[in-house]
Formats: sequence, structure tokens, C-alpha cells
Amino acid sequence: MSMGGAVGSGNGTRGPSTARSRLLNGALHSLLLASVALFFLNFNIAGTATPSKRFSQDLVYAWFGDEAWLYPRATAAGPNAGNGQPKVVVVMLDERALDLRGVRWPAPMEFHAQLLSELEVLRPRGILVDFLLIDPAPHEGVCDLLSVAAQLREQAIPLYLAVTRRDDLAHMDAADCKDESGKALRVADVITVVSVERRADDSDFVSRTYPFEQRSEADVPGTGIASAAVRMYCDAFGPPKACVARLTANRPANAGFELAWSPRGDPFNQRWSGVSCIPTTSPMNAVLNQPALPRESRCPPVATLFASVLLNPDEDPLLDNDKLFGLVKGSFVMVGGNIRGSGDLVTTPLHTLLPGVYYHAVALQNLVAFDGHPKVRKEYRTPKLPYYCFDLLVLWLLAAIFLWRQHWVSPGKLGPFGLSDAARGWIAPFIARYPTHAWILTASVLLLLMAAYRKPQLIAVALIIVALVGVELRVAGHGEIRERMRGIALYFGAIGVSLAVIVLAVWIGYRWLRLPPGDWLGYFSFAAFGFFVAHTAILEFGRRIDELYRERLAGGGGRK
Amino acid sequence: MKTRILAALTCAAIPCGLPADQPSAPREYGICQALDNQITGANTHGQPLPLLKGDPAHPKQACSVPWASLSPDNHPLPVVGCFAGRLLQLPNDAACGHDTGRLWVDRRWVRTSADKLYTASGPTTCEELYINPSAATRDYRPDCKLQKPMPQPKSAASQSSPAATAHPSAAAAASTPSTEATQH
Repeated sequence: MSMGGAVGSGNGTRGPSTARSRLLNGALHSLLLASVALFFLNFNIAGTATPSKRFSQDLVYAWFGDEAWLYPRATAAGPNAGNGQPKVVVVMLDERALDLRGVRWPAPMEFHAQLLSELEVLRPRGILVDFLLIDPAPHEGVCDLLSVAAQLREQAIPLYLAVTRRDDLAHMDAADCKDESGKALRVADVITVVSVERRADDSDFVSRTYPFEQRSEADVPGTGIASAAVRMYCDAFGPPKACVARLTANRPANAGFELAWSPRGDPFNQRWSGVSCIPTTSPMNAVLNQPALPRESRCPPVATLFASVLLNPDEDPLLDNDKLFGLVKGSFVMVGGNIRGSGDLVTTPLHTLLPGVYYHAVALQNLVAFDGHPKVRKEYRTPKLPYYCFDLLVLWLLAAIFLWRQHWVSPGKLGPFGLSDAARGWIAPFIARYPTHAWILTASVLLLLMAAYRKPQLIAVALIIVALVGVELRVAGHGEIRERMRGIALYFGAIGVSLAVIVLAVWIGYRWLRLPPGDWLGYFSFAAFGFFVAHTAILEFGRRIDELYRERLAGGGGRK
Repeated sequence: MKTRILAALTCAAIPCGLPADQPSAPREYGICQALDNQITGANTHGQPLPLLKGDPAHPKQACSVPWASLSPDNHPLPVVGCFAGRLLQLPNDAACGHDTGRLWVDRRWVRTSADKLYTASGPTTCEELYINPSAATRDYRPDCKLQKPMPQPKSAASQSSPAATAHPSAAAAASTPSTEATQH
């Protein structure tokens, strides 16, 4: 990596100029560089840039997803654990639970009614049934379900049922069920229908965003079926209508909010998970060329109670009712399925595949954790230009720091990490002992091996750096070493200031503008990895244009 | 003579009448083995008890009622039926209206006099998420093997005969105790 490009050769060659004009020039040049950087940060021809941006976001969550400053979710057991936040609990229905009640998949309405009446005992804050009960069912089963729903409504426990269209549950109304007093049980009175539509990124089909609502392009924002997590959050923390309207207003139909993920499994799940719920991923893995994202984990990030445990205490005898109430009472409960072969799996950024209900559970966790103000990408904002202006401002500051450092490195002198002429003069004769074909072929084979085998890459790079530093120390004079140390100190000083700018930008962008961390590594790469260097040619071009303009002015050929 | 005495002593110590193929300690349905088991109260933190009706192998939701309406004087209620160690039958067929038959309650929601005898020591950890995508259509039954043994009765209740089962299917279940825990 070389940061030694001398870009400032033309700086200040047009005679004396005031400090103000130099400052203005510097500001304009850094703005030009920042604009180029912004363009390339968002340059996405054929979608090739999207995967890297998404992956860098996944890395941020993989490394820091447990940190409260990034994702302040409730993790401790208890009804209102974690900064007073209500917990989200998944109740997982699998074949063992069905067998306990002598039914097979798809489970009949009676089964759902029964399970709901058992869940009612635990006094949750609300219950989502993540099953599409949209097929006509026997009258008795429908009436059982509606009567339990009415019972839940009486207990102020809202019941949410998944639908694909508003009229999906018309068959339930057609059953003409009545309660004990003879009053008709209507779906609209006892059940809240919600959308369970899923979104996935086009680039890699990972579900990182969660839709606000399900609607077509032609519909007005806010008129669609609210997504499950959105509706549940707004009903709980309302006022419901205003909350849904705020979240859905001015959004395109395909808009969604970004899901923050934690690599850590919920501590409750350790009681049944055969694997550790504590991830071992760290940024050091990336440095060491190891897998940087957590591997597939069967310990999900949401507390999970298997329905079979609820229905049969012998499944987990240590989970007594006190613990059960501690987990579920006051929590949002989402009932989902994990039926083998059903295909209801969602691809997540950090846990690879999980049953689909976790998509809604994590979305609700996000809404709760961020107080109903989840992170939303720039492309889903209206108007979006201010958010890109924010990016430009950040890059402008970073570019100014970069140019300031470049200004302090004397023109024509070495950058902090460049190879000196003396070192080149020592290395070249050493290699020149061998014929051209021999050293070129040897170098090619070594590079080929390093490309093919990942493990020796780091070792080889470390050895090369040590060798080059050794050569430099041997051949360079004291003055040159002093100059180089000054350059290195400047480099790290500039990196430090850039990092401070990035931290400030991240804080403002994440905390106040609610932007997801997709651009964070982009900022960092411009500041630290010499991406600005790759685009400094535009500055040379800009300076040449300046010179021509001034020559025209000096010659009396000003613009007419 | 000595041989007869030894045989008599052996018979006294071991239940000789037990068929050879019947397990001496039917583990899975332990609480159903308890004699004179009684429901001593609700274990619902004051919430109504969800009651079930019909065939306990395929039960249906009946209604939810407070414990006080089942036992106004808070007296223990005898368990008149037991199914698969999970459902207990109440001597009540009217709490949820007519035509329900005797009602059932999930063992989780009640306290019984036999609870202490069947307190288990640890989870059986049969739960796991199925997250392996298969490029095929399902045509198999999942297997589940319990990783830890189910709780053993701590007293001689394991040697006693099953409690009276009110429903034929309950009796059937009690006679094939290992079926449920190993078939899926």
C-alpha cells in the first residue's frame, strides 16, 4: 500500500496568493475529490457494488452487534428486561408439538385455538400467529379460533393473524360463528390481520430489510396491510394510526427498514440449543484471513419456547411455570412453525437460515430497540438528496484531511510507505544476479501459490514487509529515516483525525439520521486504504483547468 | 423347605405377578402411575385454567375457567383420568357447558399431590431448529431420540399399577408407555 503519491506539485505555483484564497482553493479541491469519492461509493454498475456494501454492513453487525450503542436490544430474561423494553418471544411449533395433540401438519384450527388458549394463561402483550389460516376449514374449528380470539380480546391481548390479502379470512366470517350470548363473532372484531411479506436484497437474497406495509405501487402510502412487526409495535406503543402513518409516510411501495442483527443467541435458548449461543467472531478473524461472519448457528437471537415444552412439562422439567411466566408475561409472542420440509426459512445476515417467524421477531425487536425509529436506507427516504449531502460532507472532511497530509509531505519526497531509491538500488542488483526468465518465473510461481493458498498469504506479506523494512534500515541514511518517520507520524495522525470524523459521522448518521451502517466501511476505506489516492488524478486535471482559466484572465480573454 | 422360603421372600420383594414384557417403571407416563393423585390447585399465577374436552388423544379447546369455579372451597379434586402424563381429567363435566364430557386440563397448569414424586432433574433437550434446506420433497418422518432419561419416580409408586384411566385411549397409552417418546 503506497500513500506516497506527490499530488501537490502544482500547488502554489501561480505566484503569491493570500491565505484565504489558498484555503478556498484547498476547500474546493477537497470538495472535488470528495464528490468523486461519493460517486464511486455509490457507483453500482450492474449491481456489482451492492454486495460489498451489504457485506460490509454484515461485518459491522457481526463484530459489534452485541454492543448496546449499535443494537440496544433486550436480551436478559424477564418480561420487561433490557432497558425496560418488552421482550419478543418465539413460540415454535414443530412436529413434536403436533404429535402431543395427535394432529399432523397442516394443523387444524382446533389446534391453534387450543394453543392460543394455553398461551393466554401466560398473559403476553400480544400474539402473532405466523400461519396463513386462509383455507376454508370446518365450522367447529373456525368457531373455536374466533371464540379464543374474542376471549383474548377481552383480556386485552390482541391477536394478529397473517394474511396475504385483506379478504383472506372471509371464510371465517362465512362460518357465521356466535359467542355464548349469541352475538356474531366477526374477524374484524377479534383479529387484527397483518402482512407477513418478506423482502430480500437482490444482490444476495438475504433478508436485511423488513417492509413497512404490503401494498402496490398504485396505492397511497399507509393504505396497505401493515407488516406484522409494524402493527404489533404501533398497537403497543401507539397511538396506532399515527404510528403506522409515521412509519409508512412518503415511502416507496418496496420500502423497508434495515434489520440490525446480533450474532449472539438469546441466553434463554442455551437451555435447549445444542450449540453455544455466544459467537466467536471478531474483527481479528478478518485480519487473519479467517471467516469473518459467524457460521450457521442453531441458537437464534430471539428467545424461543418450543410449543412441545409448553404442552408437555416433561420436555423441559426445569422450566417451571414461574420461569415460564417470567419469560412470556408482558412479552410479544410470535407463534411460528418449524416443520421439516415446509420451506418457511429465511436467509438472514448472521445466522444463515432461520424459520421465517424470526424475521418478524427480529423486526419487532428492532422497532422496540430503536423506539420506533428503525434504520432506513437512503434510497427509501423522501427526499433522498439531503442524506447524500450528508455523505458528501463527511467525505469532504476526509478529503480535506487527506489533502492536508499530502500538503505536508514535501513534493517529490517519499510517502511514509514508499520504497526509497536507495532500497531499490540495493534490491535490483541482488535480483539481477539471476536471468530475467528465472526471477520473473519464480516471482510468478510464488504469487500464484499465494493466490491459491490463503493461509500463506498473511505470512508471505508479513515476511515481505519485514524484509523491506530491514533493507530500508540498512541502506537509508539518518536524515531519510527521520523524514520517513515524520511521514509515518503524519499518516497516523491523519488517520486518527479521519477516524474521529468517521466516528462523529457514524454517530450523527446512525443515531440522528437513522442510516444503516452500510457506508461506514466505505468511509473508512477512503480514509485509511488510499482510495483517495486512486482518484487524485482528478485534482491534477482540476489544477490544469485552473491554470488555463487564470492564463485567460491574465491575457484579457475573460469569459464573455 | 429352604428353597420355598427363598422363593417366598423373593416374591415378596419383587412383584412376581408382573408380566415379563411389561417394564417395571414406565418412565414416560410417570404421573399417570400415581395412586390417588389429586389436583390441589391451579398453577397459573391467578389466570383461568384452559380446559379441554373430548378424546385426550385429539383434545379440543373447551373453555377457560378460574380454579375457584372448579373447586369453590379450594378442596383438592381427584384425578379421574390421566393421559400420557400430560392431561389430567377432572370430575367435572359442566364447567364449560353441556356435552363436553368430563373435562381435561394440561398438567402444566395445575399442582397435584404427586408432583413431588415426579420432579425431574434436567431437560431432555430434544428440541432443535430444523434449518437445513433440502432440495427434495418431504417423504419421511423425523426422528427424535431423547438425550437424557426421563424422570424416574422416586418412590415405590413406580411399581404400582396405573391409575384408573377414564378413557380407553388413556389406558392404551399407559400400556404402551414408550411409544410417544421414541416414535418421533
